[in-house]
Amino acid sequence: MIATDRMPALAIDAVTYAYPGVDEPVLRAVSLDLDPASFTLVVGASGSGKSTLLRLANGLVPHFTGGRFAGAVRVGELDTRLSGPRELAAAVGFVFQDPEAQMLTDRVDDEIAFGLEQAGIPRGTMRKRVEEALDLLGIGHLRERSPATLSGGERQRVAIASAMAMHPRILVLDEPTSQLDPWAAEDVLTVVRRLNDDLGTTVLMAEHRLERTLHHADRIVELAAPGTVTQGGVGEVLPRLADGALPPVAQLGRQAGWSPLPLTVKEARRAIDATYPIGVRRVDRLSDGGHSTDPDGATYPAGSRSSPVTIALEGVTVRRGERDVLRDVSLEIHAGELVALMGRNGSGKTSLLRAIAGLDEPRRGTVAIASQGAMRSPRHLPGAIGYVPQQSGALFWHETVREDIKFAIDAARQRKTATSSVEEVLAQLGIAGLADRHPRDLSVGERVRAAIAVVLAGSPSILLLDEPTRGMDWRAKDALLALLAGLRDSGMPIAIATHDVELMARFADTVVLLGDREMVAVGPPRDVLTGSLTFSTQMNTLLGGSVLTVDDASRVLGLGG
Amino acid sequence: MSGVTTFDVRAWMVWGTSAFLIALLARNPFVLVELGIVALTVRFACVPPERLAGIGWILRVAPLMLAIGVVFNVLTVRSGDRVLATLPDSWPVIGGDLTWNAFAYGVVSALALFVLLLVGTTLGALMRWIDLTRILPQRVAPLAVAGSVAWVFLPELSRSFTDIRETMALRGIPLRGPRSFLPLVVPLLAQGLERAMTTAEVLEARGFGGRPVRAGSRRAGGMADLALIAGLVALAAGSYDLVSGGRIAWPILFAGGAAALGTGLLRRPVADAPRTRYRLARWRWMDTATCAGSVAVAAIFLWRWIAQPAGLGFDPYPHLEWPPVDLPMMLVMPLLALPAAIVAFGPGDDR
Repeated sequence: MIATDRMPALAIDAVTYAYPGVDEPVLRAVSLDLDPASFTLVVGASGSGKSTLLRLANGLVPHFTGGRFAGAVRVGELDTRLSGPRELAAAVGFVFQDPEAQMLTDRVDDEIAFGLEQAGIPRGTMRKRVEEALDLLGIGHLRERSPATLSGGERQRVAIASAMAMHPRILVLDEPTSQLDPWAAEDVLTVVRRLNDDLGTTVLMAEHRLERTLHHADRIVELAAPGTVTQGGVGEVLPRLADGALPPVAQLGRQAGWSPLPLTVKEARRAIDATYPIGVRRVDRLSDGGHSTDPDGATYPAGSRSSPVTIALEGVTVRRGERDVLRDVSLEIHAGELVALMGRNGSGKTSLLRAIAGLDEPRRGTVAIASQGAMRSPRHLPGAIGYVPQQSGALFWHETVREDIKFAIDAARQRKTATSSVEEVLAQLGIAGLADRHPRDLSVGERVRAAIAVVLAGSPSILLLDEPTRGMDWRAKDALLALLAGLRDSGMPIAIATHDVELMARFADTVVLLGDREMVAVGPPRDVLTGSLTFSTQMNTLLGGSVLTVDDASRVLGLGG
Repeated sequence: MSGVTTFDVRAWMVWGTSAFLIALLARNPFVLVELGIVALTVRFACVPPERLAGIGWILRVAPLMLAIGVVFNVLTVRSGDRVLATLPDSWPVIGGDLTWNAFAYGVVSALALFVLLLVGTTLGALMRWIDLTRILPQRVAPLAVAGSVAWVFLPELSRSFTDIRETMALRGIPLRGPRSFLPLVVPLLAQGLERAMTTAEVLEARGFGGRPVRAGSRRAGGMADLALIAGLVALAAGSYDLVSGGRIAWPILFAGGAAALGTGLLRRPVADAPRTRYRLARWRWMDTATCAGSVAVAAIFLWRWIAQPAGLGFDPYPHLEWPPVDLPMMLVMPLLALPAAIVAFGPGDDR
């Protein structure tokens, strides 16, 4: 049989699938057709089966995962029940979430050639395809570099180049930007859009950050629990999505009653121009009450920094191997202050958290933590700092979440710092329902909350979180924010390394912007996240001035929202 | 890898086979020490800097291996003419004379294990697994996937251990003594395996091993599978015989097992799809020199091992005496360090 334009690029027919050892199917009678050259976005809550759905396309489900499978999946003329991932590799390019995990060789051009070698493509053709892929993704200058030395965005582009070198009919991307800074994410998505527009590659992408991706898509597939699917054109599905799932411009559009809902800043601007023909007054300072001016010149809402300093860094430089990973950082964090550390991949966010935690000794400068009326080095305060790393698996050593929390409380008891019982910690985090689950069986959002529970069970006085919202859906993020708000109100200082500009605009007290391992700006979100091309919100790009959130925009537009 | 002389992976495989042969069979401490020095020389001269992990952990493990080897031997072996101490005969298993002979044998066993580890880690750093998988026949692709998972597993295990140690220190739970390590074994393995499985998934998704092309009958498949099973059983029996001190049966079992395993793999009813290479491997004079040196060392070793087995062994029972010096073996061994000499004095890499 020959694939024709009329034949769907991917046809999923009544697929029901359950992972090995799990009774409940994660996908239940899911049917879906992807037209050739379409761009389909898969959305849904964490754990709803997005990654499983994507893995149907190249046969990883069920050939690699095992489990119970019913129904059929066809990629052009290939039936995935008969053809496994190795046979489908040439037809379906797959880009994984973690840019680091998918690199197999130690040179970029070798990496791109890897799949071609496996497919037995003649060497002459292979060399041509490698060159094409390097040019297509604009990474010719990286060809001799080791993937280990590349940034996250560069690695994702290498991964896409490796997939595209195979000339696949379908490109599948599993949250490809979740670990990238806004700049790198935009780079990657622009490339994917170009492949879709210029080469007619069918794109199937899962993504939580709709503000980044929605305007690229023709079609949305929403996975709603348990294993059910809603699908349709963007204009069709968007109005049915909950407020929290929408990008800020669409939320504003819903409040303003615009139809269709805008997907981009450009569309929202047109809607504003149509609604307010005489224009909208630029607001340079939205009222948050009174103001106080920091010695550095940053303007904070009055009273927000009156609490004592609990973390003080003075001229901190940290060196790892032959390279400074943090240079000359001075920063103060107050009790009950939530500080967002932002910046491009590799700018030093994790290094700053590690320096505060005392995991990396400064080469120059000092880190001091307030403890019993004195400022001390974090190295002398075991248990005082709660640190949730990006890979939170290192915090779980037991069979259940409950056992891990109990272990942490017992250790705190030995230090005579325990303040809560297991049940209190479970209730505080709202994870009583997860208490008897194995930590490794939890979804991304659940695992982060369980990790925070394990850390808080040790009764720390400071909380440090590295990319906690990575891969989280909006509900999980809201739940996390509510939890952190409670901790902040109780006086705990919190520092979060994150790329989530929209979230931090709503929530952070202070934003620290890092660039090339140095601190380039510090202040309240309204000072730091405005007037920037990348580290600013959609609402600020739309309305300028000091507008940051949808609520701000509603006030400015007089929507009463 | 500019600035570093690179050898063909096949040359390193020949070098490794020769070094492993000596590390596995020789018990003469002079030979073992010389092999250890050779392995270290090659490691520091030939391993590219970015893959040159420290050997600190091997040195930290060495005293543990020594302690286990010595204690186990001294407490369980009752033979020998040099009595170190005497435990009451009424004590089960360990009662009786503890001898210096057993002590010496324990030290040499630990030394052999240490040298084996040194050779293994050096070879692991010299070869990239991706180069190894490129020279494997396509029909053994599943084996190569399993191999790559194992290859990734150990470094990931070490990374996971660092993560866990850091989070424990932060939470004020220091790791003190072997008892505090015990609860970490399962999570460590689980975390290492989780990351290794991701690699396996990536390999599958990127078509590693190429499209399997089925050929031949079901009966041929069954016979090939039987040969594989027979080969594995023979290798297991050979290993048992070797460990339990046998000298005759294990070479036959090893040879038979390898032959059966090879037959099983090569006769599997899957035809090789053509596989190509982006970067052509160039076999150069230095690869030939490395192979020639390694084969010469292995040949001399096997000749000495058959002709004068006592010269390469160490038998402290019943009389504890200095081990012999096998001059031909000691003189030929430096040929294994030829790659290091080529890197130090050769014309450099034009690859």
